[in-house]
Amino acid sequence: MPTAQINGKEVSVPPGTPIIRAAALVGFNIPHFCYHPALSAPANCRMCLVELEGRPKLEPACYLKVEDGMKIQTESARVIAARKAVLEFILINHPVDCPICDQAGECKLQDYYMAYDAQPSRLQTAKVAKAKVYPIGPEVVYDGERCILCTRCVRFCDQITGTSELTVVERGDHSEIRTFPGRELDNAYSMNVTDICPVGALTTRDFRFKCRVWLLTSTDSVCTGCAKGCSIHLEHFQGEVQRYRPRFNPEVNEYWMCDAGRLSYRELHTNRLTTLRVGDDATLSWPRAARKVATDLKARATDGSRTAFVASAQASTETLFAAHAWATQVLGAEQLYWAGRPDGGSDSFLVSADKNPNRAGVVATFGEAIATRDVSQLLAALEAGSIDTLVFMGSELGLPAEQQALLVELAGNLRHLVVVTSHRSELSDRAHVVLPLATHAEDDGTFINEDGIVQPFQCAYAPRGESLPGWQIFARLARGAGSELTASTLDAIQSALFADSAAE
Amino acid sequence: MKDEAALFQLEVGNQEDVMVLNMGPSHPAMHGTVRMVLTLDGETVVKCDPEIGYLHRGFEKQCENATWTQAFPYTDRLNYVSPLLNNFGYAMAVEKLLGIEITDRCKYVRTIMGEVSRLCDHLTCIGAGALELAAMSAFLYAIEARDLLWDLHEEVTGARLTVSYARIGGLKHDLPDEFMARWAAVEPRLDATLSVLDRLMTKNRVFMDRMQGTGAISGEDAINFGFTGPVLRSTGVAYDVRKDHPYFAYDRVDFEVPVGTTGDNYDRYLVRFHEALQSIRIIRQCLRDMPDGPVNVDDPRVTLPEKDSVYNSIEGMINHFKHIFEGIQVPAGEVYSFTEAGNGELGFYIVSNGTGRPWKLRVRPPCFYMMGGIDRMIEGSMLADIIPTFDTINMIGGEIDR
Repeated sequence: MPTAQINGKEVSVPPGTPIIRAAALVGFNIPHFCYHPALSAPANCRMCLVELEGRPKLEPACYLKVEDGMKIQTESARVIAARKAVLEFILINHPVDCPICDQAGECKLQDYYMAYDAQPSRLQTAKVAKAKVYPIGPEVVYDGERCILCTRCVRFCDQITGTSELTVVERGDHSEIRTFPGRELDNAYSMNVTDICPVGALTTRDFRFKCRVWLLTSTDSVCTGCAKGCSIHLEHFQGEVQRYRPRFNPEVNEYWMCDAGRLSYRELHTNRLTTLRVGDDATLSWPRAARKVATDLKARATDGSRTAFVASAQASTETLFAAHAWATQVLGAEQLYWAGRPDGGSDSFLVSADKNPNRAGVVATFGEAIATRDVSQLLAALEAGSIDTLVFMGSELGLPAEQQALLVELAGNLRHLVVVTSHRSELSDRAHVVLPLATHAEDDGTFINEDGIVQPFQCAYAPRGESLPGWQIFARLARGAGSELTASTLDAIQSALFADSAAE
Repeated sequence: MKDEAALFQLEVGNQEDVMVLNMGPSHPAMHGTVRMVLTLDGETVVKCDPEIGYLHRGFEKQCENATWTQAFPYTDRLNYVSPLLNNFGYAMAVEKLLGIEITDRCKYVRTIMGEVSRLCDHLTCIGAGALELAAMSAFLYAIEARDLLWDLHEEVTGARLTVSYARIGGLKHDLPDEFMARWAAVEPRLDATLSVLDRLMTKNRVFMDRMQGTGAISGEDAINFGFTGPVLRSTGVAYDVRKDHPYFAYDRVDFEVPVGTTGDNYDRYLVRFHEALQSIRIIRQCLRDMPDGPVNVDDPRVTLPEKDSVYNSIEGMINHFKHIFEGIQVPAGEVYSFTEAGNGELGFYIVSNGTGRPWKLRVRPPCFYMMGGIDRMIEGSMLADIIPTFDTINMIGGEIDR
């Protein structure tokens, strides 16, 4: 392994490691715009220049690999002067946009200006005017004046998606990012370019002018768009999710996420169901409602073989664990099914055909046998008239429209229908009892993705209205029936669920 | 109730005639809301148990959630009779942590306005003290003089009390052009008022009888209790931060540190009175020697850019944005910095973790220590002597309770 000295500190790194990475290992951050660990290094921003002993010129730390015996200075007077000069050049044509720029507050240009430049403007001529609101793709807007031409977006489309829509056109200070003629930036991952854009040149239509970033609270979470379960920053303001951003996870999604997943946060606030309803009565409190629901179920679901429970592939593994315990031990349901969104399109990168975040969690808690017992089986059982009482989790039926209407009709005419859901659906409208469920933004828990990777998500804000985390709902229902689940707290459920992996 | 009574009996002994009296917190002479639980034997105070905390706002905790600059309005409300001295004391502490040297002109402006503020403090203390001994006219004269100074405050800072005039590395802005002329008009009236006060009080038989020999403390005790400022100096100990650890322009001006001999109320009055005269002397010299130049340090990391540059250049815009939203980045470390405020040594102990907000900000309020020793000055004296004693230690609620 090559060993070099960075600011007097020895560091040994695998061959081929760029200086910028090696320096980070020993605690020296080298400022950079164009360098991104997942992309090639064109060394065009010149922000990461460092001084090497025995070399007359400063060298880019992102491009140059560590070699044995190198002596590198990242904080010398020459380096600092070079950074200052580079920033001054970059700022020459940068517009005075911070007050209207969505990037303000998480902008590298702002950070580096204060850290390395901090001098007044010496510009005496007018700035070059360029396209301000250029619609570069269906989800992304480009601002040519803010762009510092680091080409991260161009390289993303070349090297990550392989779609190569973008390029740099014109020369010198007239250069801009453009799509090739007749194309637009419309691949399934196009919004990632706004994350990697170090300035506010690329912004998403979705988040434009929506919320100032310093108001956002960021919570570590998991995307629920498909079974891939990309790690995300769930960013919210006053109990409302404003955006998802990918969170680095080398096991799952690296630095990226798909556009559909990124926009799936909207579903959190659409058709949200937050009222507890028992019959026509929406005034009951949780303890009273739990007692009443439990008593009614006990009275009506006397025959376990004619009682069905449907587990939701949208729920957390902890909720499903409690649901399984309650359905089999307290309710005594002998017919177990699962429901979720129907399969959709997929690709070879991040998008999975399975659009449910936790189908693996359903199997992990309810057993292998449930995998084949989906909603079409439930429909068949309903048509055969072999179900009296049905407890249905979630709002997704995952059936074609005609069959869905039939299922709603049949289920709605059952002797007893209980729906536990976070979102309103036709089924919840027909239900005798509706129990509001917290979303994944309102609960702690885990999802198990299609590769079997268990990923925790954190609670971002308190459950809305009367909704409760699912594991609490089933614990309450059990208590209402006069029994107690063996694990009725999140801690107890998690230690029961993950005892094996904790022992490893 | 029973337990409390038993407790008092234990502490006071088996005197059957003692009476427990709550003086304050809502008592006109217990200004700044403080309570004294007095045990009286007739009119003699056997035991005095001062209780503070009625004006606690959580100043120190609030500052942890404010940027370094946003803490200034909070400091105004420490000793609210001389807010500029707190402003400057806090600014000096952060500047020490940043390792920056303020400009020469700023040093002079801070010295001048600090002394103007000190005059307000002393005039209030002298005037209110006289009022509480029933000398209404002396109070009116002192407050009239103070109002002239508060008009000066208003002229300079835009506010009479909530000044927020200091900034890290300088000031909100320079003195106004007409400040010299204003001061020239105020100064003779101030001299005249002080002379009237002197004639009204210094040799006044009733005033002397109430003040001399009451509330006395020895120099040794005062030091042991951590007393500073006029109360310490009245005992004969000539400790003044301005002289012993000069800051701003205090090492470039001539002034004396008046000291007393007996450490009683009368000496404290005299010390304050003479300090007021010295303050005028300091201001006069500063106005004579003050150099021209900027009042803010030339460092974009500390000083806000000019508005013209904010609106018309990206450099100024970013600079402004970072200052306002993230605050001045103060390097990690800790500092204790102290200045001579109206009541004595006002200290700021600050710990920074290298961000735009203080990680910990602790204030050493001078009158906190005086309140710690006030029972020593009161016990054994007459009930009526509490009034001048409590006044001359000049406890300020905003400062002691923070």
